[in-house]
Amino acid sequence: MTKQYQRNPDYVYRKIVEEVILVPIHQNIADMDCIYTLNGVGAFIWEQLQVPIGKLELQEVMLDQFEAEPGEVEVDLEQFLGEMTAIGAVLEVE
Amino acid sequence: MTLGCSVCPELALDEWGQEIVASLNGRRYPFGGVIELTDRCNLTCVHCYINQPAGDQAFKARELTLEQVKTIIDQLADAGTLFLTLTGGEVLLRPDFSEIYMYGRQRGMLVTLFTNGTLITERIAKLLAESHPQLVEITLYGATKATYEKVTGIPGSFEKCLHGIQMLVERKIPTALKTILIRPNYHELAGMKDLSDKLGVPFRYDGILWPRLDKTGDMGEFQISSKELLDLDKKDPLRKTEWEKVARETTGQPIRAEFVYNCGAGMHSFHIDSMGRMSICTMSRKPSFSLLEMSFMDAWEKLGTLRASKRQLKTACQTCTLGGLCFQCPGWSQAVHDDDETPVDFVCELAHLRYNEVTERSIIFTEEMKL
Repeated sequence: MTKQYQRNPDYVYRKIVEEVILVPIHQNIADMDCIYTLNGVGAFIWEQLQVPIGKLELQEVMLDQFEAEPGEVEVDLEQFLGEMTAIGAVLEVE
Repeated sequence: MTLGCSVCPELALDEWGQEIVASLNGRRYPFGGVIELTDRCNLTCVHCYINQPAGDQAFKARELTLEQVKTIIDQLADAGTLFLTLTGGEVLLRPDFSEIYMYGRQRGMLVTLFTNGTLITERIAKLLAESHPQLVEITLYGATKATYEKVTGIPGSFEKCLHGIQMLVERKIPTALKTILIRPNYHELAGMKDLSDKLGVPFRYDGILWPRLDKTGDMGEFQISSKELLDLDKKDPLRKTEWEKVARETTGQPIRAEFVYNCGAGMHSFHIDSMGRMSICTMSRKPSFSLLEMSFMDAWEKLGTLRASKRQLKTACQTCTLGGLCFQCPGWSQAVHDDDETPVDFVCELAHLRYNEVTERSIIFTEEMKL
């Protein structure tokens, strides 16, 4: 079955001044002394992760939204999902 | 389009907060605020500026309800507030504390709690362990049972406080201790520091008493002297260095010449009392605007007009060049003189003595300087 990704509901998306940040609610998922910021592209991806979505579908949505080469999107999306799953902000779901 | 490694940088909170405030370029923004959930307290500390009896039904009846607090938190979240401090009185007297705390966390707030620690239970400790606050700051009133309970007036409160602290520390919940130095516990400052060191938590103290909000009682007998305060600063290298830095950076100019507010009050922060009245800070509570009658943002805008208030009285503050060495402010004037500008003698005297101490120069505090 294709791997899909979804936001962890234990992270709250906040816009503070002009910054978009993720605030972890639960102690065991992140270091409370740190803050996780998203740029505009990251915030866009976060929006898409409201429901489970596969990597290919995410790539397509991003190519529709942004002017970029498919290869570039693929590499960057891989990195984004890797970082977000590492901190527990994004969950891999079947 | 660029993604790359800046998509999700992990920044230290302090560093990030400083960058955000700097990015505002002097613009007001409600970055953080305080909600006083109750004026009531289970302790009866002799020096406290706010405490009302725990069972006082009149004070209890006028407190914000759970739903009202949640509505306010919703508005704060929508306005972009990130840092929320919950305080009292004693916050843990409220049976709905857990719901309020978790509601703030679920709306993405970084919550700090001010508490006396005596009402921390296994249930509260478990809640805080599961969803960490940014900090729990517990006030310690002495290093020994005798002194602590002389201040609090409640037998058994010392053990309860220590037990509460222990429960937090064991669960690795961010905890700090602080004290207000007063005549009865002044001699135990070193003991309180030692206790904090043994527990492995930060410690800080303040030595300036705030007049009671309800204008009852005279706390002058508990206030330690200006000389004692300065002697403590001299013995503490960190505090001494900090005051020297303040002197270097802020003295020499009459910073209070024109505007009533010269501090950061109302720039990035606000205060909401137990009845839902919002003011520019915890000390300066007049005017206040009821969040039961207007939205948070409307109240925030009204507070903004205070920042532009110009001085109406002729006082020594207008030509004073002691800058940040002095903490004279509208809050102090309101508490002592019921106006926004009249200087408070004790504050003025302390600033002059501190200037002399820090700069090794001498300005004499005289009666003429008061007006």
